[in-house]
Amino acid sequence: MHKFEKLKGKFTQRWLSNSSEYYLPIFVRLYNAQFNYLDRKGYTIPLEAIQQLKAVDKIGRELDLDDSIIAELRSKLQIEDFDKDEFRAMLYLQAGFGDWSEIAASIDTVNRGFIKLLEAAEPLAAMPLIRLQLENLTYIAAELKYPFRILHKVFIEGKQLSEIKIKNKAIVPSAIRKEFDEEHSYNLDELYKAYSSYVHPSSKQTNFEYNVYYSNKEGKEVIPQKEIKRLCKDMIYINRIIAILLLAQTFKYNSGLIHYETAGFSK
Amino acid sequence: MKQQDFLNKAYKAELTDIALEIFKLKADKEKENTIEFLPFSMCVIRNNDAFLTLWEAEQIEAAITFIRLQAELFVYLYAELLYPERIIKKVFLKSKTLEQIKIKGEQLKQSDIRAEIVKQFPKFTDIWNKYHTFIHPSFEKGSILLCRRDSYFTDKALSDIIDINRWIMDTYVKIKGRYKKPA
Repeated sequence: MHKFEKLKGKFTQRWLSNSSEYYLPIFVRLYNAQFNYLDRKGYTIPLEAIQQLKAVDKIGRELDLDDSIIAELRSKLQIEDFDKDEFRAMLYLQAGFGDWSEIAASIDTVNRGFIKLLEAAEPLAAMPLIRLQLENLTYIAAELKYPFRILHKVFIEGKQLSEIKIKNKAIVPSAIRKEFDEEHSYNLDELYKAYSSYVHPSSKQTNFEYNVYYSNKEGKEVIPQKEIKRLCKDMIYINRIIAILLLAQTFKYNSGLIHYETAGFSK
Repeated sequence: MKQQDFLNKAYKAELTDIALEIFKLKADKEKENTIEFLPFSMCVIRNNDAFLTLWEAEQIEAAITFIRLQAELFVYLYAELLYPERIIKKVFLKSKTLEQIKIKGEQLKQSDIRAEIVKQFPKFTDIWNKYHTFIHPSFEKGSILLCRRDSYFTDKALSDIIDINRWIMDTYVKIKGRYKKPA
């Protein structure tokens, strides 16, 4: 099995510096599961149609899907319950893109930055990155709750999460976290509030304590390994939840347990 | 502050010194010993150090986050210039957020402070608009994550954080001037 196919087990500290390798098999499975789910629903667009779009230079990270193109492509499909967002997602998947590229890169960037700052004995600076990872987790949770309707709108259409409406109701990020906390006995909302104190100026930052010593050998301040392990705890916890959510969603797609009401979504 | 001074971390001494000078001036003039500007300076130093660590490790996307954090710290310091003794002490010693502070019965809004900043530092609008979305997943963040080398953001990130540091020192000097005894 190629290294990108094999799952890597539980997320641990060592993956912080190379989380793209950890998440690659997870995202590959998710992409495949989404493709198969949309294929079963009848969204597979004929290859020649995709090639025609490429030929007129309409394929790019931002596809120009105006109503006439959608109508033309829709006529080639036999779908009972057509959903514009699912159709858009399939077009992107078949064109070689997916909705997860940016968030996957963001997860990795935050992890690598976090461990880099701890290794540079700058733990207080690393703490805001835990809040950023919680932001990533919130957006992933929203995307899993409303598939194909969130990440594309954020990263391609430039919307913030709170500007996205589902069935005419704006999404409330804290409500997404609270819902996941209740369903899965997590404490994401509590963590979010705690780490927000490291993003915005606050007295909490002046009371932050950690062990550090000066290493004559290295000629600089160093945080002991046991202390790094303590400081990594919440970041590792968040990564484990991200992995579990993505794998659980993949399982749901593959086992046919996914059923989303399309009533009220875009047609 | 010149680029080389920033890269050599000259800001550590400058920011610590000015916070200590304000402490001494306040102690002399107002007979009050409060150290609120020291934790503020420590936060600015923290953000600069983090930016440089990540910048030098070529982790530009993560480094840019600290420009946004630095810009917010500058907003707080400018609020202190506008409303002396009402901001930095309350935030760093009394655990208040900016939005919890009232001036003449009205809650402070960051957007109002930023509007005042722009009158003196017009370039601040560009910097705030460019980086404020980096706290959340966003179009701008996505574009830099996938197209880093060509990004509009990475070219100017270093000069932008240096600008913010200059403005912080400018504002700090004005705040310090308040506590000087007249000649």
